[in-house]
Amino acid sequence: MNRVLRRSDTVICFFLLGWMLISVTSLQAQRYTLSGHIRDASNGEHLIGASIYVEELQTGTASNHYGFYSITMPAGFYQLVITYVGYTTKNLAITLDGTLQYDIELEPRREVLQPMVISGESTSENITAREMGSVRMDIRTIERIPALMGEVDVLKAIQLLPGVQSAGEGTTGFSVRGGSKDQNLVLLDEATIYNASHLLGFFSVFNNDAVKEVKLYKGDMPPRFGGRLSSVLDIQQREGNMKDFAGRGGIGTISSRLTLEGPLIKDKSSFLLAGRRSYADIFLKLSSRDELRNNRLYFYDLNTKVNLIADQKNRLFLSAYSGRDIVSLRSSEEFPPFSMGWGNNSVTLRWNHLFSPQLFSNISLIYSKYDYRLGIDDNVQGFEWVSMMDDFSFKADFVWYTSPDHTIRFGMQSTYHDFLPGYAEGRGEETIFGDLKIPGYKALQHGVYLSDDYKISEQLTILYGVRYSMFQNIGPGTIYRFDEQFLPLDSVVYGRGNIFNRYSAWEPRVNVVWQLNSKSSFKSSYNRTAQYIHLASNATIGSPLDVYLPSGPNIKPQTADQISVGYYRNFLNNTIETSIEVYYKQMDNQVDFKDHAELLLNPRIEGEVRIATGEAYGMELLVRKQTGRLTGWIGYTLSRSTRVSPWINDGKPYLSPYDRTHDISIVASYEIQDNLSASLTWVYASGAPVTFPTGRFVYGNIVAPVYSDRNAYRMPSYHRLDLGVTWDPPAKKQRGWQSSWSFSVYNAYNRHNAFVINFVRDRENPGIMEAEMIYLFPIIPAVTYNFRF
Amino acid sequence: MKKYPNAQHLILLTLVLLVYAGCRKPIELDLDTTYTRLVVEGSITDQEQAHRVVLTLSSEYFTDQPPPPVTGAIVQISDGEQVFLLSEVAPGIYETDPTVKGVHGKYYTLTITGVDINQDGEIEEYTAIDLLKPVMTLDSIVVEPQMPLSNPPVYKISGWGQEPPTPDDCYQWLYYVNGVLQTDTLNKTIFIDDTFVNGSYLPGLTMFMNVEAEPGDTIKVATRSLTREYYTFLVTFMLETVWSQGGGAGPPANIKGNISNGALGYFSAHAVTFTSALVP
Repeated sequence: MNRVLRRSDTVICFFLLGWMLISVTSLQAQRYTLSGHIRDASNGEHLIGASIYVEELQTGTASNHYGFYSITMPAGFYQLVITYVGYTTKNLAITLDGTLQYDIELEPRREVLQPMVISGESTSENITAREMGSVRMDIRTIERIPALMGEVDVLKAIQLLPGVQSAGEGTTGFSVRGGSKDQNLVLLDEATIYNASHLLGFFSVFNNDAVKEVKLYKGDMPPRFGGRLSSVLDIQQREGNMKDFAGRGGIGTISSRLTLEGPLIKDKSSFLLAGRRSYADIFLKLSSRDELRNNRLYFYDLNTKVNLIADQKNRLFLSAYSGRDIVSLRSSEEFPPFSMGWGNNSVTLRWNHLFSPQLFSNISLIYSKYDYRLGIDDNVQGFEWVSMMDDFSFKADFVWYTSPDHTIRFGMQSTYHDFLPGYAEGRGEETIFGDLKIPGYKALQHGVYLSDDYKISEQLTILYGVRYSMFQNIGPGTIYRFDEQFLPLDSVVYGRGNIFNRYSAWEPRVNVVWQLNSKSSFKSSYNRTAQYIHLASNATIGSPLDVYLPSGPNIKPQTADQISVGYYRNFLNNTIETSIEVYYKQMDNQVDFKDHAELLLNPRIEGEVRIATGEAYGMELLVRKQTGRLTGWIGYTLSRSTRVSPWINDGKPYLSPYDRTHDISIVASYEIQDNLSASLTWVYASGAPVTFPTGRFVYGNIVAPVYSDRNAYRMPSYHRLDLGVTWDPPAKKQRGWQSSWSFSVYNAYNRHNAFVINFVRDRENPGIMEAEMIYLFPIIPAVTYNFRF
Repeated sequence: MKKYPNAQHLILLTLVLLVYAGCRKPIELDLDTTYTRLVVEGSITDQEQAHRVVLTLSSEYFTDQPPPPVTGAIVQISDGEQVFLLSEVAPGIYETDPTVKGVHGKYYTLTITGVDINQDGEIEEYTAIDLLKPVMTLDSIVVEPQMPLSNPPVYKISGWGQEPPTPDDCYQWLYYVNGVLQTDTLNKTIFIDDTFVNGSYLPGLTMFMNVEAEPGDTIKVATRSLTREYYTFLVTFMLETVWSQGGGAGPPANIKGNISNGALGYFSAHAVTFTSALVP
């Protein structure tokens, strides 16, 4: 990029900022600010997205990520209505004759442990919300969904939303609106979680007891997020009880959990400590077979959080996550002892500071890491292989509540990436393996953004903004150069600190909400996103051996442009919400790989990449009921996702692996009695595109396939019914030990959903091939005992 | 394991758990049929012998018939100076004179003509080229009981030898019991490249397991040189056939050989050394 262009970019940026300032300051009157935090009265947790409505002005605001709200109004007397799903509505009358600091506490409608009905107030939030294509789910909704082996899982829950497809049976991997699974930014308290799966993807790394809220942005990404093309999944951890010491936990079929929380200083500081461990290997120990008994196979998660309300203006949050999978197989006749481990670690330190009641800021220091290691312990064939990624980020976000009509957000983020794709070395005295180190990559990624949430009139709201992102490859680094056939020509070694390549992108984001009346609205958005790091994986199933590749001289950043429009309509006094959204997405520089690509321990991996162009479009319908005895939703998605690359499939377009023509989810929960509820989930999806043989040949006495075009066939369609019942025996005392039982049945009608289709040789006649499918989960009942004290 | 450590194979190893946890069941599929292609399987070595090229046709996927032979083809191998004509000794099987012997460092070109596979009335010509690379020799092999007291006895074969310091060497091992080739299908042979072992002394590399033999039998291991291209072909061939189960590898893709004009298979050149031992 040349300098002249960059200067013009800066001019545009200043122009935008200036225009926002003018439009803000033109509204002059005697105005004061009401601000504070909104919290749960029972435990002091901050409530995210609680709404404050000013009757007199017929306007309002919502609390932010940290429960903070701020509203600036002319002096006067106001009646406020504060609502939040699952909490008792609060009415307040205030006289605003000066800057006022007021913290609001809302009473939860029910105990959290009786998660049967979200008996929240009916609100028209979905009509007025300034975002589209985003869904918020609180943990209580998620806990009600019957889960595989009773393991409540936020990543499985979001796959039930329209526009979100599961990457495969039972896996936590997901695809949003036809994008790849690495195009989702998964954040846990702002830290990137690179591989959110345990046990090859069957369980996610998020312990539901430590999670407060999950929000998925699939259509329009607010400018404060960047770095991924398709979606942001923003997961907030709970902060811990500010009032009393408390605990909760559960004993499940495959894992158990325990969470402890309480005040360090009452109403000022609290902690949360949550742990979870699976125990598949404990069952192995019971096995009578010797070779099974000493194998290890488990995962654990540890979440910790400490927060401190230093004073009215300063709050500190320190959160950390550590989780790991451990597999170790004892030596057998054919294999020497094999061990493998993988996991994520993250630490986030955040400082909320109020510069003024109208200017909220948050500064974050974030560290996140993903690593895996595997090895064989043997004198001759022993080796150890390590791969890791470390991110160090600095982030600053500001929210300026100028008036009820304008909320301006700006901020920046810088991340230092350190990738070590692979390092293998021989172990053992007579090892046959030498050392092999794949050159690492280092890079800096930056983003600055500015946005304005502008309420033009009662009917029209526009959220517009821009993110400017930049990516710099820095030395030391070794970059191979390739010819047109992707054969390596030579390599260039760059010294430490040398910035040898850079990319940048403007990412405009615009969102318009036109509220037709109190029951319906029309929304549309345009988004541009850029992604600079890419998952080097072409596996059809989740693999722990994930290596991310940064953009660089050989790999351009991925970009996407998405437009979407939607119509939202509520019925029956807002008890039934419906929406229809259509989207079109154009994706450039999609990372795909050549046939039979070698992606692991390959120093010239960039030569395996083949760039594709992608296109995705679809329609999403959602009908949702959040109040009453019967709650739940029905989602339907009709979509298509294709790719084309000159180097793949002879240049002909092919279906993306995440293309699903039809996708239906039905999620329902019914409160039978006060302490007994039943839930149901049914999913249906068209089969995933797949390549099958259309001919065969024989070589070396083995039958080999001749394939169709890529993804010319489909797997059989997928459908499954899950059922669950939750029973809370009435507690003997008001406080103290309370418990509940959850019973679930996964795949209730025992559908054999094909996970993979293999072609195998007939046992008697190896010259005859037979198609065989593998299905993972037959009908699986599970029981979980949950408690709380 | 055939290639060690093969990255994809390690993933598959971890997926073994998963695949065996899953249940299998046959499924009916209705597959289209693609056009017929020529299939070539042939080689030349540095041994003095009749070198063989087998020509067959591709067929529909779910067939119970052996591959149809291609008869009446004109098949020849050239080293740039000499041309060896192959004669059809059985339907689809073509052989050189038994006096032909390949030379290290030479490129060998196979030419097949006189066939009309696509039946358009015009004769097609297919060619392939490969380099005959020299090969290391194993100093010794050791045959030992794999599990004491097992009945019938099974043996493990390991090899010792100096891998030369030249990079990019690839090997394939086969074995014979009393002169009879046991590794008669490709998945019974093993092949490696020297990425991880270049220049080192192979200190008892486990090559074959579950070898069925009797005490006193002679075991002979053949070490063959492979070009990198043929090695890649073998790895992709195995990935698409024997190793392919479980979904851990990438999307399926056709196995590309070195025969021109859209034919399938491979024509390869090898140097071969032999190392023998007695079963204890």
